[in-house]
Amino acid sequence: MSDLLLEVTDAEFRYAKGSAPAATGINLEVRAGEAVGIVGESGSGKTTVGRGLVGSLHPSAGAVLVQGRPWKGMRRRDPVRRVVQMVFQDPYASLNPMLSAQATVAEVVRVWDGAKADVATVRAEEILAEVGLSGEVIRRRPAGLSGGQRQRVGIARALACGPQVLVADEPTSALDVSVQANVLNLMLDLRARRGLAIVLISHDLAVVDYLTDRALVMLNGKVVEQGDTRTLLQHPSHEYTKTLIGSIPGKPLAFSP
Amino acid sequence: MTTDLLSIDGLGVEIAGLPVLSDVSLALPSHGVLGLVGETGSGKSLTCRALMGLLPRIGGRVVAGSINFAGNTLTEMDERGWSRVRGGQIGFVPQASLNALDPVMTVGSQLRESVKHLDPGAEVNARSTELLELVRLPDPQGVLRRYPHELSGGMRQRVMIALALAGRPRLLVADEPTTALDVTVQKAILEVFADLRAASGMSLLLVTHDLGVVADVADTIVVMYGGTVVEVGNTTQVMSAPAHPYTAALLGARPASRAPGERLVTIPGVPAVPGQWPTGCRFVPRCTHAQDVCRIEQPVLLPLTGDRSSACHGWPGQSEEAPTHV
Amino acid sequence: MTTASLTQTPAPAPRKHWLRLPHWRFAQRRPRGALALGLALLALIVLATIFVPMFSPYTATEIAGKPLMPPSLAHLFGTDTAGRDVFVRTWVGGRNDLLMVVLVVVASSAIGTLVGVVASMSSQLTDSILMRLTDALISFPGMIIVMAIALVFSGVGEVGPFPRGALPAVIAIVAINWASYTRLVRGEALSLRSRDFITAATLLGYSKTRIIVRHLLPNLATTVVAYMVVDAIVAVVTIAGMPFIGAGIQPPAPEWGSLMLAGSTVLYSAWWVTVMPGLVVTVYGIALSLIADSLLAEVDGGAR
Repeated sequence: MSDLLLEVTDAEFRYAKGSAPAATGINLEVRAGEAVGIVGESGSGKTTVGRGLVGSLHPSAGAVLVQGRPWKGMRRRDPVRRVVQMVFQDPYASLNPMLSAQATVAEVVRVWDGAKADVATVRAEEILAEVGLSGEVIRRRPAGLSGGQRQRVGIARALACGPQVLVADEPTSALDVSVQANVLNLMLDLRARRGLAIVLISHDLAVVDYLTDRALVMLNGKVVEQGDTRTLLQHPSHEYTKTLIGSIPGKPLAFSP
Repeated sequence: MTTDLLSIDGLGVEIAGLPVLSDVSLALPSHGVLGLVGETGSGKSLTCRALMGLLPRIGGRVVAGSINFAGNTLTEMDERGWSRVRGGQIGFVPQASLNALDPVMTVGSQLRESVKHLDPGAEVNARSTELLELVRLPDPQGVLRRYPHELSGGMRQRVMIALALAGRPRLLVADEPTTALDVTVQKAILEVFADLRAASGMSLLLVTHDLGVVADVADTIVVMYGGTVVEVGNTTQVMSAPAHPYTAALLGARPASRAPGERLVTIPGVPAVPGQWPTGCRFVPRCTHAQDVCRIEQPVLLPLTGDRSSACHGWPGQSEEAPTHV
Repeated sequence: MTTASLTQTPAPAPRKHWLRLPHWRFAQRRPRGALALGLALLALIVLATIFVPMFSPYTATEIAGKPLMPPSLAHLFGTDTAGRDVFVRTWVGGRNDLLMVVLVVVASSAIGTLVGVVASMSSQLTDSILMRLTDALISFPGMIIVMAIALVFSGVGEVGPFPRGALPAVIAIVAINWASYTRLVRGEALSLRSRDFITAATLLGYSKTRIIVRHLLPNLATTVVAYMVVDAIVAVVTIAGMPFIGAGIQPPAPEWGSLMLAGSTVLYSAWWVTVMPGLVVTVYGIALSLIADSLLAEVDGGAR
């Protein structure tokens, strides 16, 4: 089996038939353990591509393949579904307000592993511990959790079905810088520990630079530049990439505590 | 210190009897830009609310200290006097203001209403257009006719700033003005602020959780934690050699401060909550350098070399360039 | 106004209904207190409808004294035009009313919620068909349908605790009333569906049933319950109006609406026949609106 997990070829995405495409000419490959960034402003089509990657939006042209198979027509309980999971931007809207952290994660285990309630609860505890949540906190509902804790629950829920790719759409843009650091560190750890591939969608080049090896820069639904993240940042060829680099606030300051 | 446009001295605030701010002091000279930095819950937004006289709306009141603005002691004023100063001489761009515009009124009618109210002598239409030009909105005439939902987030934020400028304020207070915006838009908004200051000599108080945001704009940085000020200093100095472990951690948490893949500095634990402030230094439970003295005695804000101050008993392994207590 | 006034987000449009319900400011500030008070008042009424008929020396239909006697120790609420005890009639009537109300509210909310959730989760075509159907029901003159249905079922006699005419009235009201729940639930469910936790559930391959039962319904519960409480007030008024069109509970069985209607002819000489049951109905309305307001305060406040 090849390590090619996600393959997007000449994909075009539209939200409704006949409407203008939200993204066109997208080509992207994600292999096991890779970290890929998609950078752009709101309206650039980066979230659309993210939705295409997780199969909640089908391409109107071209193809999106997960382990060689298209999302379209994939059955609800097809094991390939486990391969790709998503982490969302808004830590308030992405969790069911009526379920505790533990119940949220346990539900995934029950559905995918057919585990009994008590087994699933124990397994949920382990997964939540992996993202740094333990003790009484995991029995709280989202309203009792901080933004950073909620985002960890969201990551744990995605991990619970054993994915190989995590697609994260602006996972930290609603968080304080100090909390963002926690979540970014966690994603680094998960990549190292689980060999998880990460697709990070963000408007913040500093975050993309920090976490990814390869990146796509999107503008108005098209990819304007892509390549090795470091090269992209040091030798940007497209004007827009240069603008983005110039917008990083408080440019890297040489500093060590 | 007669040159300061705004000075807050030893401000203490309680909400329903619970102390939420204690001994907050800061000074902002005319033409100055001050960055007020801290995490959610550090008290930075409450300080803004106190300054704007908006505490009674959330059941808070000033119990100690004073707020002085342009020769007036705001904390001694009644509600009406305060609101006159607030609307006219201090402009306010509140947090999460992206949804603060009235969705059923055009931008023009909202802006004109503010101008009529706050700048009675002005020619309303001309002034409204001028305000939108000040915040660098292209096609101001077109924007005046539009409704808020027809504008992008960045444009709406510019309109909010224009509204705050209607009374020709001497001080503009902006609470997290760029938090929900794209970096490119953020950059543009920060440039608007820099322009405004250069053009009109207005003072700015920028509140944010990201030190990077104020690094390019502010002269002075005030860092808050647990309802009090922990460090004050010149921006470049604070950014290059922080004198408080909390500031150092905030800087180390920024992805731009580290090589890719290198772990970011995180602050263990959760922010100090009012009512559960520890004795001694409020940062103690989360500080990796805490010593015995820190758990017993609360450090006060003391002057350091280089026109700076910090509230820390000092820690070993502190950066070489970091200032020491005089 | 100052710029600060712009910080307030526009207030949500007040919930409107032709029946003006009182709104309790303190229910917004102290939802728990309002809920407790409302529940206590309601419990008092429910207990009275159970125990008063059991321990009263009179029955609801017997001639217990002279006609139109003012309130006294023997007859706490006085007697009516026929000399029947208004106190016992009020509480027996209350029992009839409450039983009908519970049935109406439970049945309409169950049907309405089911249709609403299914519509929100279905294809556009199914959704359109279901919603046009509910629109048609809502826009149709309600009383005519009620009359027609009540007539069709007029053969139904006394069933269990329900006096003659009660069940046809319940069926008639439920038949049109469920549609308003459907509108409410579909709207709420659609807005929930756009939230990311439902997207996450879909990406995790959860079945439609699981999404509805575990993720949609629990989040709709408070809204639906709050509406049920409001509906329980409206239902009493509807039931009270039915005697005018010859439907509803048939005399001599008492019911709040017909009790007050009977007293209206002698309102100036014998106010108690109308006012005493009226007071009870008022307390009932206050109790339910307190409960509803406290629940709504919870929904609005807990939204984030």
